[in-house]
Amino acid sequence: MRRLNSPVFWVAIFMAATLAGTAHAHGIAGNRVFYPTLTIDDPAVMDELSLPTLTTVRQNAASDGSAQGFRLYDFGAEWDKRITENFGLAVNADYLLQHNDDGTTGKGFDNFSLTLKYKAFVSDAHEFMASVGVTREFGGTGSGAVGASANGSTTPKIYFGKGLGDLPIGYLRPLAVTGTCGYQFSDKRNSDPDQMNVGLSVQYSLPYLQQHVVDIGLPAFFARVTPLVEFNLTRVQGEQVTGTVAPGILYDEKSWQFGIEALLPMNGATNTNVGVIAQMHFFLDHLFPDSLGKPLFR
Amino acid sequence: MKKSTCIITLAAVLSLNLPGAEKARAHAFLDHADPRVGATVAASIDRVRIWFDSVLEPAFSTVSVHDATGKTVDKGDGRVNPSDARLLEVSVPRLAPGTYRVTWSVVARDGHRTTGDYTFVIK
Repeated sequence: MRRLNSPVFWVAIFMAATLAGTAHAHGIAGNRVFYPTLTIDDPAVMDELSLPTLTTVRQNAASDGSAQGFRLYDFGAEWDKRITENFGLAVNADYLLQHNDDGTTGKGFDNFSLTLKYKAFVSDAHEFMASVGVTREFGGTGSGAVGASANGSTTPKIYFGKGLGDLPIGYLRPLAVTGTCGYQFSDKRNSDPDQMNVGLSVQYSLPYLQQHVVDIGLPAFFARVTPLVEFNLTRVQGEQVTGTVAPGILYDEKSWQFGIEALLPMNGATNTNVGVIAQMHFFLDHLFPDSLGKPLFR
Repeated sequence: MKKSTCIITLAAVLSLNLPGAEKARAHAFLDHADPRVGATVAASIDRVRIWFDSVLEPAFSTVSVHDATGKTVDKGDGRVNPSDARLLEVSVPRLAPGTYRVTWSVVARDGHRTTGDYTFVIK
């Protein structure tokens, strides 16, 4: 894991990315564009950069007094790079600020993670996309002051996206559902139990409505907006399910996207107040089609 | 180097190393069309026109019009307009009342291909 901490590693990755490759990309299946979502990963394999993803949420104190409450600020970044047209990797980093109720502040990086993803199937006619991947969290690369675990984990995942544009449902054709499901195998299960993670998004694409169903003369701004709700559930082995419901909007400007969502706790066990997540997202295949935005190998 | 510094360095490297000539280009998506997407028009039309939000590659951009049975009904002269590289158009004969589907496949100048379709109705 030392390599990921080294600027030499980043520069090497960058240089490799600019050396070879071809262009083509985006999360497109027929008429459908699967936009990057904020709390769950989308099924596409793309050249993209999320910088920054800002999250703030208040975690309440544990009811049994075992843990104090705190407000968390998360400054996240993710870089996705295609190796081939359908295979890519993503590197995630999050810098956390944790203001505890006792007046102390913890700060530092969360553990780094690396995801490999393969886009296995696309049906243009049925607006369907499916991918498989695996995420490796490198234990001990983050700061204990913000709760980064010393133990790592490995999470195999499946991803899918399905647009409803192939169905005879009129004004509901702009609807799409994306989802991901992963099982996180902890390196040390006695201290960090395994957990199941499930994510789902339901989107209504106003661009799709305008371009493929009926042009209702939306103003330019609204013709780029996709309202959505994301659901994120986690079940740690032996514990109750926790999660968030995140309603919000995505605004797509082709080469970049801005998204903002409320983070609502799904149940009492989630034990948070309402939070907010916002993200600036850059489509590198649009911005830099001849260098960073193309796969390393065709 | 701190990790935060590393990320800032990476962002700076990205912005510096990527030539300014590589200005934003993109997939081509439908901007608007005539007849409009999903519209019902009272009279017949002589051509279908689609304006895209990016400049098209004429050699690799096509458009067709099909009737409700899937039969192609356009005159086969689909092309990118020579004086407006964002406009894809095709002539059609006098169309009988019914639902027609327009399909297109276009390549933007950066080589990205997009495909799509929409319908309109002749009353």
